[in-house]
Amino acid sequence: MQGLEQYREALERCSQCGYCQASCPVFSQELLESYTARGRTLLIKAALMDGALPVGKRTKEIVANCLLCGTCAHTCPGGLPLDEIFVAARNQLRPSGPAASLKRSLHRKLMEQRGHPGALGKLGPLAKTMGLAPADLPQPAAHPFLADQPEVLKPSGQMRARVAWFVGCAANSLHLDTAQAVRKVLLANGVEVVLPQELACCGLPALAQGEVDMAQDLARRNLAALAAQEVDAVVTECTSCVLMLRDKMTRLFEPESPEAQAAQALAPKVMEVGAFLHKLGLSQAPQGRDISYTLHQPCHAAGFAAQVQAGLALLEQVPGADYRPMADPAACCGAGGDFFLKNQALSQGVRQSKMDQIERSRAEVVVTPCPACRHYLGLALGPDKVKHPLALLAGAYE
Amino acid sequence: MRGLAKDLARLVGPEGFSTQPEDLLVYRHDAIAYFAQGDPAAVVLPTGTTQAAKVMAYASQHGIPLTPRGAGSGLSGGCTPVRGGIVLDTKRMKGILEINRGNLTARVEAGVVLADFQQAVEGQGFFYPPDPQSKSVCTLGGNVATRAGGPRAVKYGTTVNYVLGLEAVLPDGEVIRTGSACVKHSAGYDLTHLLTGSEGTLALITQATLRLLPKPPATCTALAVCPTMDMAARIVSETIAGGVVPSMLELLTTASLAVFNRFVSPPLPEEGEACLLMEFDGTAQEALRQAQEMADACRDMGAIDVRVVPQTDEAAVYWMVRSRLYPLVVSRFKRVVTEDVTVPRDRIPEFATKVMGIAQEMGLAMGLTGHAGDGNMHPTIRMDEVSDELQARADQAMAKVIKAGLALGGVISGEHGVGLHKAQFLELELGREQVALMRRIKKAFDPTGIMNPGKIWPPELET
Repeated sequence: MQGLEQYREALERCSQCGYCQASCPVFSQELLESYTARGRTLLIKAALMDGALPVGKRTKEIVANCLLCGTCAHTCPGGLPLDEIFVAARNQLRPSGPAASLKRSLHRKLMEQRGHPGALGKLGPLAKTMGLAPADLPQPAAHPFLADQPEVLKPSGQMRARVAWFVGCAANSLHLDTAQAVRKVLLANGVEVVLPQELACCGLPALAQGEVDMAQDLARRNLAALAAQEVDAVVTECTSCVLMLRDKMTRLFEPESPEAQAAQALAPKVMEVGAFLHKLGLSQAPQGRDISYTLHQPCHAAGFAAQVQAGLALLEQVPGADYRPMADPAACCGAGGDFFLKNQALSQGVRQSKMDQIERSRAEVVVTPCPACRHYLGLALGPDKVKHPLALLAGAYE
Repeated sequence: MRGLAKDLARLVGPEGFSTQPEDLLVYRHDAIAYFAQGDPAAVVLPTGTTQAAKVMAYASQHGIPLTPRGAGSGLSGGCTPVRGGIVLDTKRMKGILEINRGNLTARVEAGVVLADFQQAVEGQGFFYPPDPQSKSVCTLGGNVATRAGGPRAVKYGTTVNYVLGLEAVLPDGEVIRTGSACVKHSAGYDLTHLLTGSEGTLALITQATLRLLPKPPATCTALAVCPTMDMAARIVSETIAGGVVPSMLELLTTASLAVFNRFVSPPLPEEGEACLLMEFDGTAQEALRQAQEMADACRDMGAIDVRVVPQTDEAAVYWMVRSRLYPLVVSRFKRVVTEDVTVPRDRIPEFATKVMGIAQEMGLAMGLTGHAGDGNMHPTIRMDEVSDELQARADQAMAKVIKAGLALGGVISGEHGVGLHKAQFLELELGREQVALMRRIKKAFDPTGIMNPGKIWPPELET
C-alpha cells in the first residue's frame, strides 16, 4: 500500500452522480451530504491529497464518521473502492504522540491475543467506573474459549469433512456461547475441526483504525498458520472475519507479492460456517424448537450475502422454528464495529430504524452472524434476544 | 457575510446549517464535476416550510444569493451555487404527508426521495410513473423544479403531467399555495405549472400535490440488438406510428451490451451499433402479447438478437443496469459531455444520422443513447483526456447537435433542465421576445434577484 496516492486515478473516475446517498446509514441519519461517499471523497482529495484545504478537526470528524460498512462501494455504479479509500484516509490521519502509541500497542496486543485482554481485562470495570472506558464496551469472559480447546476436535460419528476453524475474537472472548454452539453443530455433523494455535485476530479492526501495517502483520501471521493446514475449507462464525479473509486481505499487499498470492489462494476456501454446513448438508436432523426468529444481515456481508442466506436456509431445517423476515434485513444496525462507542447519538438513530423493523417482524429472537451487530442490538433488546444463527441450530441438538 | 453563522443558528438552530468549508465542498457540485463553479458560504437544511421561509426572508433582506437543492443529482448545473451565498438543501423536508386513496392524489414535502415515494404508493396499489434514472436518490422537489422525466415518459409523460398543486416560498418569505387537489381547476393563471420547471429561479418549492394512477397489473420486458443505429431509430418511429405504446422504450449503444452481460444470462451478442430495451404493461396477457409482437417486428426488420423477458425479477436486472449506465460510462472516461436534446419521434432516424455525422466531422467519440420512445436523446461526447482544445471542440459539436435538434422541430432539453449547461441556448429555442417575457416574470417573483442566480439564461441577460 502506498497510501491515498494509489487511489488518485479511482478518485478522478468518480462521476459525482451522488447515487451513494441511497445506501449510506450515516447519511440517512444526518442527511448532510458531506457524510456521503461523494462528500467524503471530495474532502479527502482536497484536504489529504491536494492540500487545497487545511486538515482540521472537521476533516478528521468527517473521515471518522463512517461505519466502513462498504455499502457505498457496492452501490457505486463506477465500482470505486470507496471503503479502501476511507481506510487509507484514516491511515494518513492516525494520531501520534505517547498516548496514541500506548493505545496502539494495547490494541495490537489485544488482537494478537484474539480479543482477550488477559490480566488487563480486570481493569475494564474499573476504567468504566472511572469514566475512562465507555459503559457500552463489552466485558470479556474471564477465560477465553480457546484456552481449553485441543488443537484438533474429533467429530462424534464418521468424519465427513475436515476444516480449519478461524475463531473470531468475539467468539473467543465475548460470546463464548457462539463458539460452543459452532463446535457442537460441527462435531454433531461429522466435521473434524482444526484450531491452528498460531492464529491471531483477522486484522479488520486494525484496518478500521487506519492501522494498515498492523493489519498486514496480523495477516502474515494468519496466512502462514492457515497455509500449513490440509483442510476442505477455512470456516469462521464471524462475518467480519469472512470479509477480511475472503476479500480485504487479497488487496492488503502489493499485487503479485508472495503475501498477495497467498491471500488470493486462501480466499476461495474461506466460508461462513453456516454456509459451509449448508453446502455439506446436515447428517444429524435437528429436533423441533418452538421459536420464532428474524435475520439481521450484517453490512459486512454485502459482498457475500448468499453465504448468510445459506446459513439461514440451515435454520429452516429446524422443525417448528418460524422465520419472520423483517422489511430490510440488510439495513444497518448502527454498530459499525466500535463506531457506536464514539458516535452514540448517530448510532442510536440508525439502530432505532432497525428496532422498528424488528418489532414489526414480531420475532422472538434476532439472529445475526456478526458479533458487533449482536452486541449492539443486544444492548437495546436484551442480550438473550440476539444470537448467532448457529446458536439457534445448536439449541435443536439438545 | 459577517455574522452569517450566528444568524443562521438563530433561524434554524445549530444543527440546521453548516458554514464549514469541509461540509461545503460537496455542495458546490451537482452530478457533473465541471459545473462546480462557485463556493457557497453556507448550507442550510430546514426541517419544514416555516424554517425555510425564515431563511428565504433573511436572504432577501441581506441580498444573499440562494440556491435550492434536492439530491444534487442533476446534470445541468441547476443546483450549483455559482454566485456563492446559501445552498438551501431540502432533504430534511421528507414527509409523505398524505396518500389519498379516494382522490388518487398524494401530498409530499420537497425532500422526499422519488424511490421511497414510489415504494410507498406502490405498496398501496398505486403508480407514480415519472422515473428519472437517479430515482434512488433524487427528490420530488428537484423533479418538480426541473420537470424531470425518464423512460416511462413515452407512455406516461414526465413530472409536469402529475403536479396538481404546490406550496412554495417566495423570496421574501411569503408562502403561497398554487393549484389544488382537484383534477380540474380553471381559476387564474396556472402558477403551479409556471413553478414546475422553474429550476429554483422564482421560488422555493416546499410541497407538492401529485396525481397517482392505478398500478398496471403486469409488465413484460423485451430487448433487441440492432445491426445499425439507423435500424434501431426506424424501429422506434415505426412502432409509434403503428399505434403501439410501450411503457418504456430505450435506445442504447452496443457498448451497453457488455454491461448487461455482467448481470444477465444467456449473454447478449455484443454486435451491431445499437440495442432497444423496452417494457410493455397492462394485464399479464396483454403485456406479453405486445412484447412478442414487438419482438417479431424487430426480427422481421433484421435485428441480430431479440429476447422477451416476462419474469419481473429478471427484467428488474435489465432496468437496474439501465439506470446505472450513465454514471458507469462517466467513470470510464476523463470527461463526458451529455446532451438532452429532444426531437419529435418521427425525426429520430434523421437526428441519429445528423449526430453521427457531427461526431465524424468533429473527430470526437460520441455515443447516442436515450429515451427514444419519447424522442429524448442523450448524445454523449466521451473524452479520454481533457484539454482546452478538446473541450472547445466538444462545445462546438454540442452546439451543432443542439442546432440540428432545433432544426428538426426539437427542444434543447427534454428532462434535465437548462441550468448552466444550456443557458446560452435558451434564446435560440424560445426566441428573444419569449425570454424577455420570462425575465419580466422572474422580476415579478424575485425583484432582488437572489433566487438561483446565474442560471437559465446567460449572465448578460440578468438584470
